[in-house]
Amino acid sequence: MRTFRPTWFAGLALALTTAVPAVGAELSGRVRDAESGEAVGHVTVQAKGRTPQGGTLSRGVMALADGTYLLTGLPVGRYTVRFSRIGYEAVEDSVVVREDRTYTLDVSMKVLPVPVEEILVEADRYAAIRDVQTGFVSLEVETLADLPGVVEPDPIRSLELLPGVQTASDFSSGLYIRGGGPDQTLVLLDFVPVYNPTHAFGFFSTFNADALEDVNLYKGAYPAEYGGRLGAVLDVRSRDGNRAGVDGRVGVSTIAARATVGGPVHGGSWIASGRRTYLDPVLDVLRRSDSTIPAYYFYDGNARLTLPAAGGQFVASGYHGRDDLRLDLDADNALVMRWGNTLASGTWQRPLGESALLRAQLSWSEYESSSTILALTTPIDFSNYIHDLSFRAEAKREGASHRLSAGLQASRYDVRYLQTFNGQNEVDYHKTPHEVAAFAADEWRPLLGTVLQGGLRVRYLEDGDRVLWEPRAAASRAISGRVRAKIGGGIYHQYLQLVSTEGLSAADFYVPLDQTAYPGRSWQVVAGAEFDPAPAWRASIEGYYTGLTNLVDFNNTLAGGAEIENAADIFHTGGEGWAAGAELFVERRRGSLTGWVGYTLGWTRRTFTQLNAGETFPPKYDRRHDLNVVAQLRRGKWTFGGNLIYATGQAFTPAAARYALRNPARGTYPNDSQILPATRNSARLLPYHRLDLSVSRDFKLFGLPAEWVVQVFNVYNRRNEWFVQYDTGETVTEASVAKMLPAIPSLGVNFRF
Amino acid sequence: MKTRPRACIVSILIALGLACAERDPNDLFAPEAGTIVVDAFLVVGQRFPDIVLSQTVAPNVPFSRQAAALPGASVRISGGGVTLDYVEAAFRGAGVYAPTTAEFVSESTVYRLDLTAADGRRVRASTLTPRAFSVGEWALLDNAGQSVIRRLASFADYGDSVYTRPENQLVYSLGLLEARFDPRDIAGFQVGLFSTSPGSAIIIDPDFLDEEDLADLPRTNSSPPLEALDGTVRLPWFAIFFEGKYLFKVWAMDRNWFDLARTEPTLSGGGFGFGGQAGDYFERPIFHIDGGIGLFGSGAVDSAGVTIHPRP
Repeated sequence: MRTFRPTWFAGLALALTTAVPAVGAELSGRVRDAESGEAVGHVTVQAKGRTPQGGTLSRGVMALADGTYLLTGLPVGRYTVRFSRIGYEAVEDSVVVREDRTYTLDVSMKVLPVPVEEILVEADRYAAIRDVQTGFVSLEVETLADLPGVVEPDPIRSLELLPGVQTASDFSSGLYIRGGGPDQTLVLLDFVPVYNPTHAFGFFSTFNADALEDVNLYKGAYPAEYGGRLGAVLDVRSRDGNRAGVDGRVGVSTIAARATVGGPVHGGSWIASGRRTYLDPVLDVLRRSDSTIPAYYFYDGNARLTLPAAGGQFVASGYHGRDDLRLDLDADNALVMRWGNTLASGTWQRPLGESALLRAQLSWSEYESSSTILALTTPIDFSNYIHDLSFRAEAKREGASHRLSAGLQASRYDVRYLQTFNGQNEVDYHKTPHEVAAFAADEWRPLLGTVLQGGLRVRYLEDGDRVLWEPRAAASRAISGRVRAKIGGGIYHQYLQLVSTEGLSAADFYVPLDQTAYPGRSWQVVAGAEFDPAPAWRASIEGYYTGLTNLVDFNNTLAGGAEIENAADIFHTGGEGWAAGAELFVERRRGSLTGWVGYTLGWTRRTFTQLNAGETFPPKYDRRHDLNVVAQLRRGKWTFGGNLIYATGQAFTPAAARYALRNPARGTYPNDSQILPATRNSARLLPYHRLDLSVSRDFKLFGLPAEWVVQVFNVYNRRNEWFVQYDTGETVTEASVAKMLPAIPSLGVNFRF
Repeated sequence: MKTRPRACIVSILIALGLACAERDPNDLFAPEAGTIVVDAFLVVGQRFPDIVLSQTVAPNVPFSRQAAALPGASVRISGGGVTLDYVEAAFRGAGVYAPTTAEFVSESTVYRLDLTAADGRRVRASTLTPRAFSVGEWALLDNAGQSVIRRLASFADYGDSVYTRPENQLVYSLGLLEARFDPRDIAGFQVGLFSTSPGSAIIIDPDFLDEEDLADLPRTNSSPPLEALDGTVRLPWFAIFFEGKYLFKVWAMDRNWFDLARTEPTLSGGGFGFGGQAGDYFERPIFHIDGGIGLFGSGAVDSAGVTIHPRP
């Protein structure tokens, strides 16, 4: 009997794991990849043997995601233990049980060579989730990083190539998923929220591809273990170091250099990654002749340490990144902007009982930004931050037909927005709320090929003294060996609201809703089917509907010095909306030519009494059709890639009329007469489309495996439309359309050691 | 090349070609014209002003105030025990209507506008004038805004000679000029700045502006609308481009003017564009006019005069 510590989370775990007392010996261990030393999860472990009495015995279990397994109830005897998993050579070993105690058997498995390389859009390690979860996509970062993009490999921007996922513009890496804005997607790095995952004003994400393992996207109807956003969850996992030996990779692109090194340590591993732009010297030279050239750089770093501890594993991980922009025009005019994220977490997890796992994490996440403008000697300052201190504990138990999970989470936030003008505080908004959440879920497999999942998440918000109930449900049924039907849904709330500015992500800030504004609420239902017509092909079709209430929208008509104390002072509240659509996805997963075609048909609408005279309108990112074609061709040492994106135009508000009013404060007409807008977002920009191409070749660099990569973003230089602006300085109003990025070629070299 | 891949590539190129068609510029407009525009602003303690009436013009046709003028309307303002009829006064400008009697605007009074266009369309609006307003103190603070260096002389005490008073001589960018007043019961405030020395020299010297930019510097400027809940407004140096005499006006705004000023970009002085997607905040302003658009508003004002000298 294990020692019982009177802490609530341990008690919860024991409740899940001690339903059946253990009899006989136990066999436990961990399965690793023979080459990299990284854990291999979801391995089938089967022990067969004979007892001294002459009886035969067979016991089986599936290893957890971290490679650990536990077989219980083994009588005295000799056993052959077989480890098997698709993609790996099966391993057999033997163990002799002489008494009732715990035996340890760690094994290494070799990857089973395959004749051709393949792109796996959804990694096998998440197959169990994909079986029941609608709208779930898991992509290996190696795959995303190989797709053509803009200068730097960016796993997050590459997600826009999936159906149902869009970005607002070439200048933004914020994701618009199934009709929701970027503020409605929870972004996690190793379970720690990232509050502003962008560099360079939204152009790049903060995720260094070399530091990541995989990217998991729940496009909607996400399960009970996640919460806090109305729409989607982006769950990014970082890599473990190589336990077999020190290795690394270095990459250089047109604007930045990056390096990653990792290796074994004390039975565990470590890994560290860093990235920095190197345009500073070039900008310094240009600035000698033109003072309007700014100085700009960004850097980021990831680190992760994994060690065995207390029968389990302890992982410490961190991230730190900063952007720095300076524009010194002269002594009276300057601009300085600094912004970035810092994340730190300590996670302890260990197997507990039969196929159970206990996990506890303490994490810190902060986003801070500050901007100082000196305009003809007048100082204007903006600063904001969000600090998130969270503790999370959860337990999972995998049984023959049930997969139970439960957990608790407590978070304390510190949110501040400060704006000063000419030395006077115009806005000083500061809140320190906290919330507590608990969840429980069960995934039940009553019949072969049928999975039912039910869950409940309950949240308590101290600000407003609110209890929020969030049920979740999902079901899937294998109709045949190749077709699976799925349905899922749930209720979701959002308490932290993001005020986001496209093209100026450094200015983004969070506002917790309080007693003056009820948290946003969504209810979602998603249904679809997956079809594997052949081993190399996968197809899916999915429809979704999301209803939204208690939406908020930033009130940009606030006067200077307005009293900002509550959420209702900052937002238009009480909005409603909906989003609906269907997605089709066809993927070729194996062979020398791989890729996919994704198509989305979607609608989204919003209604606020304070906007558009209370009439329903489409938000800017409402796009009817979205088509993505992704292809990758491997020929020996050469790899050719291409993306073709087509989307119908975003909505915009056209000018309806022109008129002239005097400015009473001056008593004169402004230089520009006034423009009267038409109905909000009643017109459409031209369709967006572009083609990206890339070519890479493997070679040897000082004997080390390397590749050079040439990419061209927007090959045929389509100047896609971004937004419309009107100039009334002349007698005839001039309408001009700001355009997005032109063709951008880039060159990079990567090598490994 | 095989036929099937070639056909596929050609199809894609044709589709892209069709999709690359440039837009008709008129697609960027959704023309609607002929809405009546009221431009009427009452100042507490001053005579009822002229009113300018016009109509909206489609954005993609040439615009002029003369062509947009609305002739032949009957206009009446009533309230506070007075009724003023207006008559068309085209000699003062297109669309200008002048009061037939000389009356003064009272404070804290509701005035109603009743307008009937020649074609029978009616426009109605009302304004509640602010209370009489005055700046209690004009103070020059240190650059940190912490302590008062001195207090300025007022027009009430010295008339136009304030421009030569020693305490009203300011050196560009040295100190912060702050107006202090009672903000209660006032919807909002706005500041107007006027260079009143014709032909005075430019006082700023930014390296990044060329001759053409310097020639376009305005001699009048205004702040965005301010709530000024603490009863202070600081005048920023970045709104001042010339040396010589400057007139500062602090306006107490009625609700109509305040709502229009904070929702109409040309009157709000722009902003920093926070919180939205590019091009997203193009929203109809708040007009408070029934049957038309524009402004039927009121304000009360106090002012100060200074002379600004370049840095030594």
